[in-house]
Amino acid sequence: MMSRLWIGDFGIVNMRAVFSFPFLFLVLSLVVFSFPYFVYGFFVGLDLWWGFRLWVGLMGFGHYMFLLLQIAYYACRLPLVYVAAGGVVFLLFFLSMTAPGLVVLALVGFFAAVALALLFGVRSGVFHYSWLVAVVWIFLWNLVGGVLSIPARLIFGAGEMWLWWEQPPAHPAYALAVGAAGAASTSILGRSKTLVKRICQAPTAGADVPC
Amino acid sequence: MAVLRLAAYLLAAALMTALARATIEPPPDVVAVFVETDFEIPPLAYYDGREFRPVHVAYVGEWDMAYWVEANATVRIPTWNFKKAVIYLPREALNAKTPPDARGGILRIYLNQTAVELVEAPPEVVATYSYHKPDEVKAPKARAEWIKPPTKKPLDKEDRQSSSHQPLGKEESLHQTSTQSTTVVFPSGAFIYQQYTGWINADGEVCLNVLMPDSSIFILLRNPTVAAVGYNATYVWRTAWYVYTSSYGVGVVVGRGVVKAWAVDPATLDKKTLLGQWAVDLRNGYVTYTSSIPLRWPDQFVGVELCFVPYYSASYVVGANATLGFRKNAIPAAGGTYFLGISPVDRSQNVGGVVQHYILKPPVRNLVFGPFSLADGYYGETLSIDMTVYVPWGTPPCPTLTVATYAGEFGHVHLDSASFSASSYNNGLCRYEVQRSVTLSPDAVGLWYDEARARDKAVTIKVSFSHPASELIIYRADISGRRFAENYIDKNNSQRWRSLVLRGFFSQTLRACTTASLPQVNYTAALINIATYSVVWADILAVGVSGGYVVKGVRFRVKPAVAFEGVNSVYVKGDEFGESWRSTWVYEFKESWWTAWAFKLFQAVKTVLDFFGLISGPLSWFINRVFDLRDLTKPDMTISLDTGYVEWRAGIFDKFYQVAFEIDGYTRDRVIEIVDVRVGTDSTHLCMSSPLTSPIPAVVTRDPLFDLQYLRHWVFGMRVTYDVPFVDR
Repeated sequence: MMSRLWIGDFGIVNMRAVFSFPFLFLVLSLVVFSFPYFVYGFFVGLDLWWGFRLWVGLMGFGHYMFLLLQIAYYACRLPLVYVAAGGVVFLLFFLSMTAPGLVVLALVGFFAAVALALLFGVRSGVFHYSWLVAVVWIFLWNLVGGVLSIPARLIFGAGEMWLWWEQPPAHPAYALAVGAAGAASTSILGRSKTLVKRICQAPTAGADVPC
Repeated sequence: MAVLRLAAYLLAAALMTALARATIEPPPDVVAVFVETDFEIPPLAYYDGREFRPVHVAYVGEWDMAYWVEANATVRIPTWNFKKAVIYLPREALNAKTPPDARGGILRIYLNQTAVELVEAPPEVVATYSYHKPDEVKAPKARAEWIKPPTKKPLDKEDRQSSSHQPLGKEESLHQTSTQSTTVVFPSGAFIYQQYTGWINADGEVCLNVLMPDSSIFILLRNPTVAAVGYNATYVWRTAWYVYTSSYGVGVVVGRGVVKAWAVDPATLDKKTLLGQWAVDLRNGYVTYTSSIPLRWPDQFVGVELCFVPYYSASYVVGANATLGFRKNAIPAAGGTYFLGISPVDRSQNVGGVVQHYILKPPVRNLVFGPFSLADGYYGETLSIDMTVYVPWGTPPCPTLTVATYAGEFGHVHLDSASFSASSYNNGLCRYEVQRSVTLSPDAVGLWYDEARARDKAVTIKVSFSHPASELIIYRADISGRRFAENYIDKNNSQRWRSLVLRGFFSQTLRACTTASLPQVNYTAALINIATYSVVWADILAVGVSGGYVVKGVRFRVKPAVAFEGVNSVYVKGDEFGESWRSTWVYEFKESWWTAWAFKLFQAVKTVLDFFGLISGPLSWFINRVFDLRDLTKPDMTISLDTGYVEWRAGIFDKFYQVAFEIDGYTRDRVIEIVDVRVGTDSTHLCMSSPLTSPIPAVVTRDPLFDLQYLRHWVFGMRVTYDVPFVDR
């Protein structure tokens, strides 16, 4: 079953190039993740304060969706309830910038993002219905992603000063690189048959989905 | 879903804004009528059967096009011909008739079934007036005619040299020749009173504190509301008042301003007896001026107090200042030339590429310089203008070009007119060499001060041509003269000055940060005041902003950059950056313990994970972004040792109305260049239009003849001891 997924991310069916859904998720995650960093200037140009908060909200939403789509790469399905949960994360980030004391909501939002993504992975069976396995997966995923993003970090990430009225908190290219590293990390983990066997699996229900 | 929530949020925000803006109008006690007459409308009064009582006149302007020199843009500006005005008639004045013995002009206004006769305000009536922009007029139009033409011009167009209530007229010749240091001259001085913000009950009197340097050594514990005018004040030339409350509509009379003259003890400033008081009605949201209050007690040490008495209980913002005529001695060292915003060159120094050259398409009649502020204590001011003007003209001969100069907040006060013949004709253009020096009267000096400081406004200079000009070369536009120290300090200060205060005081109108839109003079939103001064051990850059805006960021540099080498450090508002540097901020954002605790704990966990290399990938990136968000709540400052650039930004929740940077080290051969100041509110965001450069003077404190006392005259109404001075808002 797994081999069907991991042989290639797209196949030729009836002489027509078809991208597999998991691969689409993987690629989409990049876009979702780095989108806020590219549109920052536009939103702030519309109205500084409103645009800024909107952007912070988008950023939270993007981060959440990124994690979610990484899991979805294995799960090969995206239940709407988990997408809707992203609204909560988005709202927490958004609200965190409305009053000084609410900054802590950004922290809460971060935990919510990670927890919801893992919950999704566990519930859908990607992590063998085990939280322990989920944690091990995210550790490995972060480790590989970290190694992959080292060059980008050296080029864009060091010594930056964030003038928040002028630019996003990171170079959009750096955001893109980190996102790519995360996606590549997911892909790499997925290519190890041993790992997939022990850690990740496509849900049984997914077998019926024409991925 | 997120979109739905956003929409709901927007809707809620719009509803709340609408609710907050709903105002309660009190029953109108006046009838406002718009009149247009053949003659310029002077201050007016009505006769209530026993005495003359003033009516408020709000002159109505017209839009005109002008070329705004500093912004390099054509803008709309309001101009006033003083023939159109909204007159606010108290209901009891509706059937007023003029007594037969009334002198001066008589204006008859026809209302529905009745007619009101108004007379030119006699000198003893304290008249008030203000200015309307064309779009602000909502009063119905009424027919009006002068049944006896007025004898005087409106207040701001008065020819002061021949004015009947010009107490200084006799000494005018002295003023004109007073360039020697020992000559007694007669400038106008001014007192600013501290803005009051807060709840005031109906008929509860609030007297404004006199604005004074913020020095712990120099605090008057008693009677802080009394401005010590002393023995030699002769009259209150003008007071300017500003009242605003959101509870009532703009234009409604919400209270009265009372000018009180006290006999005070010169030593303690204790009030002894009330010599006289004058009351004027104040309209919500307007600047109201009064004039001609005499101080006729040469044997008394006089103190002036400005108080506000509201008619309704509400939360008010009240500000005021008073400009006085009195005697002072000039200080020769305080002379100088002050450029009007741009710094053009003298015609004699004209070299290619240095002069300001402008092509105006389409041609315009008006030039606007500024806005900028010139602070207290000037005399013998000369406005110098030198430019070449090209006027499109079909065939020779060229017409005579009349050039008029104006000053004031809106460039509405006429200073001077002169005519010029064309020097040549070429290619359909008449060329004129416009060279003019205008000496500003002492009263105009007071005007500078009033206009600049009342409600944090600035002064604009308008140059008006009788024909539209299509091309301009500006060689020179400046003001030169001498300055005085702040009056209050001279009279009450027995201690010596301990700090040097030098260099510049600039005001700049801010513009939108994007290049797409330019603000217009008539919609001036915010003005920043930038002061650069030196104390013995350091240079200080202070940035303040008016109009409810807050300072969001400052970018400046010190040239040469090596000035930062060694032990030099930059301080923000007197406290070293990085330590207890938040303690003296105007506004302090305190994080709740649980917020701080949550972040600290998480930071500790992350540090441990980082240490073991367990968290360095995409997850670490997420976490860093979360901490970035938190960093935004705090001000941040970076200093580049290579370039000398210092960049400071406020935290997003901070509300700094003023910030200052203290730069330690040697004060020799340095220049401070203020590259950008950013201010903002929740919805707007403005930037400085062009960098300012302020050289730091070389001061030889080791010179045995060097007297710090002289240097205070470089101060613009501000005294510095060991503390960076800040004015309460």
